[in-house]
Amino acid sequence: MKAFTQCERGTGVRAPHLLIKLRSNRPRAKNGVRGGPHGMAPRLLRTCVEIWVGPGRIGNMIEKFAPLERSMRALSFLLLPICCSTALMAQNQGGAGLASGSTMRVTHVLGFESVSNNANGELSIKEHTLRFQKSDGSIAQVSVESIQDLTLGVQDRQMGGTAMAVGRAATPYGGGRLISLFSHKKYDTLTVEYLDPNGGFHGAVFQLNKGQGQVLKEELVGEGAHVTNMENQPTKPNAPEAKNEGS
Amino acid sequence: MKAVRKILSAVFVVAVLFACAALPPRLLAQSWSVQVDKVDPGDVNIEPAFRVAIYENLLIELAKTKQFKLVFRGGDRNASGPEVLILKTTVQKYTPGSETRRAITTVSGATKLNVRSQLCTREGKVVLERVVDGNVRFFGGNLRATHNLARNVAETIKKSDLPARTL
Repeated sequence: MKAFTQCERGTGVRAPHLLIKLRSNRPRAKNGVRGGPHGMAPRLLRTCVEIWVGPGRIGNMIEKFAPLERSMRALSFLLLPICCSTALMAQNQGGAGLASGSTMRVTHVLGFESVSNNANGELSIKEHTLRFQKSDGSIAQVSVESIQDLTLGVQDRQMGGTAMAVGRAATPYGGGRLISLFSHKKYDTLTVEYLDPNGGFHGAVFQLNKGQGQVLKEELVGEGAHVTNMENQPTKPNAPEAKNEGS
Repeated sequence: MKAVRKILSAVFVVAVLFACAALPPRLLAQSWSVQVDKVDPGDVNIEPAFRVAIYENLLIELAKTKQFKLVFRGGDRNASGPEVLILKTTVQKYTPGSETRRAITTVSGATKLNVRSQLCTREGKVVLERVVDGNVRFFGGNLRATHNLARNVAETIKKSDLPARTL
């Protein structure tokens, strides 16, 4: 309340939502605002107020900070993960446009022989072979003729991997949940079922940017891959929590 | 001296017999090889990626247990002979989840799988039959449920006593 009256004194400006608390043992600055190198938030706020009411009019308007300081701290905690997620979203924009010719940037989820799970690399079709080249240069390939089936699906995944998950979990005041709300993305999944030279059945799952799955599937079919169920659109996952029970 | 030798040889034979009797089931089971069949979706509308992921994870997890001499893929021509058991997996229940919903609410959005696993001989005799679950409730993508399921199947087989193979 005291701060309120001091806000009004001599300025004629009412700013009830700006209750600024400054420590009393700090030296008073020339313009009457208690300042000093004790954090960015008061300085930032002062600049904002200066812009709002005009320089020189502040005088002794701002005297006290109230619970705002705590909120500012919480906000600063939230700021970093939000920035990270925004950057990640920006990086992933326009992924579908990456498809150039028959080479696509994909993530190998599992199943392709001699390739580790969740490895990033490039998937291409060359000389009737489906070839996955890892970022380190190692290549795994399978003949298109040996492909028995191709299926498309859609997966909704959280972005940023383990580091981001830890960041979200560490964000206070439930901020991680808020970040999760905006840091997810839909991907196409391409499931390739093929046989090895011994007749052994293999299945591999690749994760592609949205829209790329259909392009790759069509190219593989064009090269002679078998498909049992030729659908134009990727199969959407079933509604969450909808149980499917066999008889 | 001869009597001592006789006693010692008798003790040795008894010790060998006891050692054979106390042989852990793992070593007995290692006389078997296993061939993992393709996952049967049954009447359940399961995504192909999940079906394939269960199959591939089963191969990995069964090899990890070192319970079997060899682990073959379904359709492998090398998997012939009476020592090969066939692992048949049929999906009974599948509840698709959502990673985002899990991250936001914590309590909902779990992906749940329930399968019936059968180990059969070439003649069709069922050696082992179990119902196994695999879920992902908190961290990880939806396909992690298939990894958890495969690990549970492998552990179940490891804990079970497989019959000794008749030579």
